Amino acid sequence: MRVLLVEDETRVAGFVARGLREHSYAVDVAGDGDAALYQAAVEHYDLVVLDVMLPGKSGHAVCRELRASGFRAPILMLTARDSIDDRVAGLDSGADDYLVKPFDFKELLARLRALSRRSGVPRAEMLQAADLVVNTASHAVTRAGRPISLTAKEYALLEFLLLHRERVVGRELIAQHVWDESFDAFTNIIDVYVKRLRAKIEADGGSRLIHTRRGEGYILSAEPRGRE
Amino acid sequence: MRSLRAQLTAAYLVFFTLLFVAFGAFLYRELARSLTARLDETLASEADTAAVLFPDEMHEMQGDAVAAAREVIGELKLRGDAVVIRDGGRVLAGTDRTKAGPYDRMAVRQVEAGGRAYQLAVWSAGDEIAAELAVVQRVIFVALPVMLAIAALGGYWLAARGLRPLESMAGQARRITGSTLATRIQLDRGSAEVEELAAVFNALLARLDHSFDTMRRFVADASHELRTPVAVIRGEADVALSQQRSAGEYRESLAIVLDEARRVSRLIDDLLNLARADAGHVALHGHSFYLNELVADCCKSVESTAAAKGVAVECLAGADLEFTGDEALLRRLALNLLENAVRYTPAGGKVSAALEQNGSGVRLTVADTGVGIAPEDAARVFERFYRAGEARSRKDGGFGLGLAIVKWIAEAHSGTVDCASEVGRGSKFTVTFPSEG
Repeated sequence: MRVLLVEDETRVAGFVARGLREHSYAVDVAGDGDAALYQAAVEHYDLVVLDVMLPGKSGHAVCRELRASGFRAPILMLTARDSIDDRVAGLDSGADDYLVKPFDFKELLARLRALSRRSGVPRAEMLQAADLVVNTASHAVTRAGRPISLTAKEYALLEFLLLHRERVVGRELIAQHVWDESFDAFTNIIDVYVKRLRAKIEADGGSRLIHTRRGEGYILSAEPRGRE
Repeated sequence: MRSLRAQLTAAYLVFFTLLFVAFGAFLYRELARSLTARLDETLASEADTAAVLFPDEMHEMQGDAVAAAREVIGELKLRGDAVVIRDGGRVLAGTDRTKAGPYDRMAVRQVEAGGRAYQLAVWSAGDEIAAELAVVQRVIFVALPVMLAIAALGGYWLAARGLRPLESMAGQARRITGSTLATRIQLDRGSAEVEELAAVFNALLARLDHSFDTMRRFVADASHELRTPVAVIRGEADVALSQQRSAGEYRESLAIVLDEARRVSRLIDDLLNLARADAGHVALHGHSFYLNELVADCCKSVESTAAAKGVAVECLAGADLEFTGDEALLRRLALNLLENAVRYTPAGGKVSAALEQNGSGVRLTVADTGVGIAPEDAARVFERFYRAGEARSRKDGGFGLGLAIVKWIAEAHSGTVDCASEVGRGSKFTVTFPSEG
């Protein structure tokens, strides 16, 4: 899940970005409305967390412009103003949800999960492939009932592959949704992470789940594949 | 409390009762007087006729006074009750006056006949007058209550009509609450007085609305200003505690939390000060001290921040200047002005504080070579939570309360503060205290 965080208060942006990254989100931070609009135009975001009180262009204006340009991903508005009028203005400008500062980080995470479930195909809390089970709320991963410990990035990669299981996903798509803007396309970091992930989920003789499609990318499939 | 409508009706009724009673009494008396006068006239003319006839009859009856008297009485067509003719004390003929009625009247004549003096009297008990007056009295007594009842109804109706606009105003006013202060009293029609009352009421509502609005905005601004640091404190701690971290990471988080907590407590202090000032609770701890030392102190305390930004601080505190006032508050004032000046002055700029005394009072000037304030903002910089321009956002560390506090402190010392500024050239704040600060 790749998130665009639009927040001018550097300290708020700091802890939100850190917390989200630790929960396997790829986070890009934009400090004002124009930067946010530019980022949204050139990158692929699954979610936007948008502060209302921005210098220059307000969050409402940014939200309207994003929607006018055809931006489809869910937008969560973050604000210190909680009057009914403020909420109505936020939702009317095209936001999908509204969270008032100060907030519990758990709540922000839950709302982002809810928003990502709502967008596109309804998504189950539990994702499964063969005997691999992933809980998208707690990020708990088990293979044949045995818990597997993953880093945030490994988890994000696994979740992304599971969401697109039985489909080939290219490296570019993975980079767009699992890595943030600091991703360097000239490294083989995705291959390195896939290798680590395989080592963890296919340890102790588990069947191969993540298959490589040369020249295309990767596919997560429960069915054994011939070509490797 | 009796209703105004009942009171007006009662007053109306009392007034009309008095009027009717006075009118009835006058009518009755005048009628009685005129009826009596007419009776007197009648009796006088009959007495005159009898007085002319009597000597003639005496002559005809060859001096028989009794016979003459009988003739006279017989010939007269009396309207009075009776005639009596006396010779000295002896009644010659007629009926002597027997009963004395309330309107009993009598006309008396002295007549000379045959060398003797006779007395001739025509009289009436006035029964007719009494009967006529009794009829009038009855008419008055019956009419009075009927007329009073009509007057009362009329008075009640008039009072109700006059009070209807007031009732309508009361009904409209009753529906106005803190959230509907924008409504105004509407009157379809009303007298000038009622319309004035409504206008006064509406002006009051407008003032209330305005101060409610100011307060609402203040509360919204204050809560926004408080929420942001609290959000950072909560969020930072929340994220830091969500997993095991290194001591360095914890230290970094704690430093942020501490800094934001300081910020919150500074904001709370400012808000409390302003709230107390609003409530008029702040007692000035006035005593005598050297204002020039205070200004020099304040310059020193902003020097390190200024030096870190590359801003020079010049202090022209001048000679010893004894001043009576609240030292802590005046320190706050000078610091707020200086901190503000440093905050909005870019590297290479200069901030200068000058203290002067002249005949009329003491003047503290804090000038900077900073970003300046646009003229449309200059008038509003003393408003709470007002930050001129977008450049002056929270990142600069201010809340937008500093100058409001400066203004309050200056005014608490019967001083004034004003701001002269030019965009890009810098700003100059001047605080003036009268001689006896």
